[in-house]
Amino acid sequence: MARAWTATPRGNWQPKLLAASQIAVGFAAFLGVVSMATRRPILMLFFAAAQGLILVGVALFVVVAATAQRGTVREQYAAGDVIVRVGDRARYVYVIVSGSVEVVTPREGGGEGVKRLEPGDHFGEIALVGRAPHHVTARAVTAAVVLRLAPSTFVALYTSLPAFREQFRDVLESRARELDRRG
Amino acid sequence: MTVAQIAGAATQIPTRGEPIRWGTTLNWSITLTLAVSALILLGIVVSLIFFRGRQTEGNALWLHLLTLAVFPLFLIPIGNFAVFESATRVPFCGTCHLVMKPYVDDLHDAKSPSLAAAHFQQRSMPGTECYTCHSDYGIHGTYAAKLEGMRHVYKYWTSTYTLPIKLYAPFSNELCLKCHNGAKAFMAQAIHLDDDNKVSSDLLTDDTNCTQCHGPAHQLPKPTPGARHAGAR
Repeated sequence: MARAWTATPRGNWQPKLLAASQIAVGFAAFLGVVSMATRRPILMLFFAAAQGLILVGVALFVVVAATAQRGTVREQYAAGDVIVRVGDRARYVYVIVSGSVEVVTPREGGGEGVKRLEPGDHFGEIALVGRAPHHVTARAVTAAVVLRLAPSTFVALYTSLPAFREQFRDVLESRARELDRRG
Repeated sequence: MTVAQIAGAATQIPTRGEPIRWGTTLNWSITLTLAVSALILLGIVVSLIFFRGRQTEGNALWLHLLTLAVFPLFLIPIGNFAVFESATRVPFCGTCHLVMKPYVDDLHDAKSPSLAAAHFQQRSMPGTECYTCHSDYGIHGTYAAKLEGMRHVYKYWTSTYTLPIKLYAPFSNELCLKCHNGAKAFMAQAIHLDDDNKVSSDLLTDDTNCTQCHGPAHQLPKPTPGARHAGAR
C-alpha cells in the first residue's frame, strides 16, 4: 500500500481538548479582567495563581494544533489496497479523484454487496456522524487517488458549495433507494 | 478617548501617597493585563459562536492561535508584573485592614515619631514603604517577600493568626543599610563608622540595632493580647 501521507490514529478528542484549553485560558483571563478592574489584592493573588492554568491551556492547544486533522490530504493507493475496513473507526470522508474503488457491504445472514465507485464518488460519510465505525470495506480496484477530508472540511464544503451539496444529496438518495430495493 | 482615559476608568482614585498622575509602569501593566485578558475572552466567545467544531481550519487556526497561545503567553509576564508590582504598594499591604490598619495609620501620621512615619514624610520610597523596608536584597528577597505575603493572605482569610503580629526574625540592619549606607547624612555620624571610616561592624553584625537609637519603627495603639480577626469563625 502506498500512501502520500500516513495518518496517525486520531479520534474526536481534539474538540474536547480545545474546549479544555478554552476553559483554562478563559478562566485565567476572566480572573485577569476582574482582578485588574477591581484591583482587589485577593483576586490579584488568585489571578497570579491561575498562571499555571494558562500554561496548561496553551499546552493543550499546542497538542490540538500539532495533531489536528489536516483539512484535505491527497492519498494514493495501489490496486488491491484497503482504504477503510469494516469496524474501523470512521474519521474521514473520502472523495475519489482517479481510479476505481469497490465498496463491499456485509449483509445480514451472510454474503456481501459490492459496489464500484468511480472518480467523483465519495465514501466514508459515516464519519460525519462521529464515533461510528465503518460498515463497509473500501478497496482500490485499480491504482487510485483519493482526497481524504476531515469531517469539518466536508461540512464546510457542503455548506458553501451548492453543487457539492446537490451531488451529496443525490448520492444519499440513490443509496436509500438501493436499500429500499434490497428490502 | 485616549488609552490613558480608558485605563483611568479602570483604575481607582489614588490613595494617600500614591501617584496622582496616570502613566506609571503599574498603570500600564494593569491596563495591558486588562486589555489582553478581555481580548482572550472575546476571542473565545467568537470561537464558540462562529467557529464551533473547527479547530485549525482556515480562520479558526488564527483565532485559536491568538486567543489560546499568543495572547496567553503575553499575559503571563505582563500579568505577573502587574500583580507583583501592585503587591509592593502600601494599599496592597493595608488590605488586611484589621491587622495592618494601625501600621498604615501610623505611616501616614505626620506627627508620629516612628521611623515608618518619618520615611513616609521624606518620600524617599513613595508608595512602597512597607515593601522597601521589609523585603531583602535582590530578586531573592523580592520573591521571598511575595511567598511570605501569600502566607499572610492565607492566614488573614482563614483567621489563623494572633495579635500582636510579630516579625519572623529580628529586623536586620542590612535592610536599613541597603539605602543608608553611603548616604551623606549617615556617613557624617561618627557613631555609624569604625576607625577606618567604614560602616561599623556592630551595625553590620546586628550587635547594635538601628532601632535602638532611632526607634520606634512603628508606633501603635496597644493591641489586645490573643485577639483574633473579628470575622473569625
